[in-house]
Amino acid sequence: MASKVFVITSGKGGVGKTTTTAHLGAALALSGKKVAVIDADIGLRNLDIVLGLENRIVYDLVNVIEGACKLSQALVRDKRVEGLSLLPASQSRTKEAVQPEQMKALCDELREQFDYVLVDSPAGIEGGFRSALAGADSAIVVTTPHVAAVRDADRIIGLVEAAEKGSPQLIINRMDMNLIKKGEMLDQEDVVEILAIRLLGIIPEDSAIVSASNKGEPVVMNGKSLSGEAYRRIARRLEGEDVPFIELSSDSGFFNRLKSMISSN
Amino acid sequence: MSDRLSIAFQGTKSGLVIAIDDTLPFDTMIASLSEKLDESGDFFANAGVTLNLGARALTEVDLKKMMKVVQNAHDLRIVGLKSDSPETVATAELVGISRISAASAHPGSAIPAQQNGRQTQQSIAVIESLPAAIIRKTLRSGQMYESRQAVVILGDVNAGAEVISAGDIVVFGALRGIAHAGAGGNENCIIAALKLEPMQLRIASRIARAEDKPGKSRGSEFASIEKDQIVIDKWSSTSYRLLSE
Ligand SMILES: Nc1ncnc2c1ncn2[C@@H]1O[C@H](COP(=O)(O)OP(=O)(O)OP(=O)(O)O)[C@@H](O)[C@H]1O
Ligand SMILES: [Mg+2]
Repeated sequence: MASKVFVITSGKGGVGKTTTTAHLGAALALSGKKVAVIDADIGLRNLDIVLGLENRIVYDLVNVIEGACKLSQALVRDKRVEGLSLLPASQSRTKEAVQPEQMKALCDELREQFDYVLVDSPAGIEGGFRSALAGADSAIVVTTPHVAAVRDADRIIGLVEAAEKGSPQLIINRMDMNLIKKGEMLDQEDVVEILAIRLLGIIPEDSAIVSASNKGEPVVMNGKSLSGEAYRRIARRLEGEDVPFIELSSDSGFFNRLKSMISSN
Repeated sequence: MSDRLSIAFQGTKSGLVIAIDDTLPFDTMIASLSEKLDESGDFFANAGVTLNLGARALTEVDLKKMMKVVQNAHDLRIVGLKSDSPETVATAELVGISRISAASAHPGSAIPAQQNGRQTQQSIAVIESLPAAIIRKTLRSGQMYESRQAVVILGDVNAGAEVISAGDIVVFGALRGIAHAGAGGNENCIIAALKLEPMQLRIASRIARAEDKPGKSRGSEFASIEKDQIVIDKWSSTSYRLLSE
């Protein structure tokens, strides 16, 4: 049976788990799937902000687990992206409020109603990560092309394998060809060679991500951004399609900038 | 003639045991042992042998000499040593034979070693050259594998991972983390990998660490101790000859 509950995880913080959960969730929903995204970063919730759903939250994940409300009451439906629902984290509680078995039961309930369930994991390898992992069929590991992030991704992959969740799939985020050229970043081949798992996609460093997060509007809704296209392709790969990776170029280099200055005159 | 009776061959469930009277003078013992092995002809060829040395105290030179006599005879493999002598046990560890306590060496034995009247506190069984452990997976950051056996890894050993072995370590993949071969003190052990890009190598008590800007490995290489230092050479189809001295 194909996996449908994915945990989005990384080990290292700040590499783009929440960003990926939001945009990949939206991309899958835009392609016609029913998708639930769960914010499992209890106490540090921000998936709702990236999705622009902050002001519509009434109940949260901890309320559901403690039986204070029904699951359907806590799910926030995205009005712009049909088929996308968010189960927000509790901001006032800590990671200990959710146990792995509870998370598993919750994911199993969501599995009945959705085509995909994406769980946004907290950083780290402690309890919060373990709970986020508990209900998943498999993992999507996000890393940036930095040595430290790749090291932590490797650690997480080992833990996912040990938990018998199969071999995770990899997303390399914030790929910046200029920095790779300068030798300040690992390139895609280095990362894949070290981690030796299936590459699901590459997301470029893209200012559209930052502004989208601030506006609360997923990049995949905007037809033009490169990162949006990258997430749409990842969604198609999850569906089993064989899609080429996007071409990245060092297009913000000095000469390119010069060129665009000239052409804009 | 009577000397030869002091060397007894016993067939056991775990293979051939050669029990050697610990009261024989060393040279007499060696002579009797090779005579007796000669007599046995091909009968025990390729067998795994355990030597029961009793309370005999052996120096490193003598232990190696004795092991050679046995190993040269019809390709016998020494798979175990049993000794009641702390000195011999220490010597055995020096030549890279790792120690297993009497109790754990014979997990199924009816009489636990401590309760066996004849055996004393210092009674120790030593098992050598257990077959290699083959690990079919990549060791990832934070993972560690430790063994008394030689270790073959069919996968990578990534940065942040560690393999420790009393014997050799062979990585059929990239070695990027830490490997410690000959952890019992055997300086003859090697570390080989298809890609040798480690953070640190240790053989016995020697340590070599990666350069701060390590280059990429080109082809299979191995590390060994030469003149008290860990050196790295290309692995070629004839490299094994250098090792078997
Ligand atoms: N491809 C990208 N290009 C530019 N900025 C990005 C990209 N991906 C993520 N970011 C920015 O990096 C920051 C961290 O991203 P995000 O919150 O998704 O990481 P995280 O892994 O969820 O962090 P945490 O471990 O704290 O939960 C955010 O400000 C986000 O906008
Ligand atoms: Mg996050």
